[in-house]
Amino acid sequence: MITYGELNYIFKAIIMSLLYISSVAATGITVMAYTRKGITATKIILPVLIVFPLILCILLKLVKEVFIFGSDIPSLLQAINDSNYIILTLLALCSVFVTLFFFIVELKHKKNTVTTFSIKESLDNLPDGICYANEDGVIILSNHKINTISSILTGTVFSNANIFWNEIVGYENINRKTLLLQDGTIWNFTREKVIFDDKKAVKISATDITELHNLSVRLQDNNEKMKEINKRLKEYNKNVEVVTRSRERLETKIRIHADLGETLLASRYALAQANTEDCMNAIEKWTFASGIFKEGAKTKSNSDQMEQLFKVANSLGVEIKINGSLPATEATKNLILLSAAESLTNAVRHADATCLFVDISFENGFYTAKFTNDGKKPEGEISVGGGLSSLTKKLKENEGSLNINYGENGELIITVQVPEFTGGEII
Amino acid sequence: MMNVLIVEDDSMAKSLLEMYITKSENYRLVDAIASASMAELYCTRNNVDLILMDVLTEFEASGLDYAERIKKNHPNIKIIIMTSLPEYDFIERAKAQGADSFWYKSPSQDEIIDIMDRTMQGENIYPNNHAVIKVGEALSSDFTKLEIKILRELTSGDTDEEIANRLNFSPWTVRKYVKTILEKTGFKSRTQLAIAAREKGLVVKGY
Repeated sequence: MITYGELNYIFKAIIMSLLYISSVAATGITVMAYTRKGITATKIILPVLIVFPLILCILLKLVKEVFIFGSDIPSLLQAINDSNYIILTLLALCSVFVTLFFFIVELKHKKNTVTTFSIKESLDNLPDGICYANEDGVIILSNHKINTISSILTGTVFSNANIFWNEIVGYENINRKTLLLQDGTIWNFTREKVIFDDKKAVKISATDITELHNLSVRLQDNNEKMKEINKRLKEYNKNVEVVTRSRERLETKIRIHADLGETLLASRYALAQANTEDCMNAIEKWTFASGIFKEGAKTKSNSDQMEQLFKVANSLGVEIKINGSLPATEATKNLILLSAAESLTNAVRHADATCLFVDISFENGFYTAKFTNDGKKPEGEISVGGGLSSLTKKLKENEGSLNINYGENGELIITVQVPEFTGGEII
Repeated sequence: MMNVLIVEDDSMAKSLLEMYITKSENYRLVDAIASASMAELYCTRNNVDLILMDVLTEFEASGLDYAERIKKNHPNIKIIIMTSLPEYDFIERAKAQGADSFWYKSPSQDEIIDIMDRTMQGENIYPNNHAVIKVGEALSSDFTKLEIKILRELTSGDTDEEIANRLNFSPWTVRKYVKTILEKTGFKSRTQLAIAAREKGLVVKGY
């Protein structure tokens, strides 16, 4: 059985132990606080409250025990028993709380403070590889990832950054290299010069670009497809006029057909009534409709289109003389004829010409049409006005060009170049 | 009698108009030519009071562009722009370029003669609404002006960057609009969209 006196000793011993443990911990925390720069509360309060009193107590105890009691040193239990119970308890509690408080403060501070260890720890957690070395290649700091990559690439963890770099770039004087690793990942290595502690250093970094690379390949693939589609769409556009005109013609036909329905009804009525006037009206309507359809059934030919140009030219007293053949492709031909119409306008308005000469040739996929006239020579440089500038714009939009030159005798030469459009079909 | 010049490349439509004018009491047909590119020159040497001008004419000449030039050099000549295409831009451009009236082609003799009469009396006749057509799952009226603009450029076959440069947008803006238009129409690709818009005549680039 434990007696009351023994219980008293045990309790006091526990309190004393707490006092000693917290004092030792406080000393530890104070030492830790003094390892970093600057003045902090821990550095001042903890020694004043706990560490110094503790040292003082120990010294006093030593003095008391060694110098006062001599060899008659009272036992520890006796010493505890002699102490004031309440004071001891208060001291122990204060000591524990103060120590705990500053322990938390230090812990928080440590979390928010960058230390050598925390830098290394952070770098090791990076998904990218990184290494700092001095100019001779001696490593200052490197992380796990770059060491792992080094092992994959060279079979060993590198000890000199310069040797490592030369090995991975194949001794080329470059600062960037992309490599495919054996595990299928793609890494981008870069080397750059940095200033480290006022000294020149080298930073080597390795970034995993596998996903980026795959996306880039897919994007490039899509761009190529898009380019091809756009090219075909452009070619298709050259021939879409035919579709548009057909649509317009179809609209007209639909409307005329609707009219024909009425004509049919009118004819039946006229025949039923046997009224001459109504019959004549019906005949007139049928003649009209058949005339329209006869016109519509005609197919347009090259000569028809040229005839249009000749017709207007003739009405203005101008003859058009063409040397060479018109392009077979509708879009190319249209641009040449549009240029001819513009040149005709120019020849009539500014030169009072009576003849427009058109010289058409084909070379290297381009049709060239030269327009000259027998009219007055221009006085000085001519400025490209509304008509020719619109034509130039239109030709440019169709990858063609327009140039204005002067012949040996000062005559105006308008040269138009148009590519031969092959046409396209969108699937 | 007022002298009328027809600028129309479609022989059927041209015959129809020729017939109407020949039958009318107030108008005399001076000529019918197929390309707008020759209309101005024609007016220089011939007495013309009114031009019935198609938009899409022979040699890919835009009736709208040439209407502007004719109005500049011959302000007394009245011009009626005519088309059967529902392209949204045509009406606005016709107004901007000084055309006197605008007519969506129809086989009705009375309609065109009425427009001609009123135009010659100094009125400007323009349709109140654009023609509405269906492109994919959307109606042409579902698109905003800017969407129509992007759609028109899309039919050129140029890249988003080229279109963006032309319209002073960023390529991202162009892509955003294309995506919206694709969602509205239900087309799966921009090529399908561009072809449908072009073939339906909702947008006609180059005229």
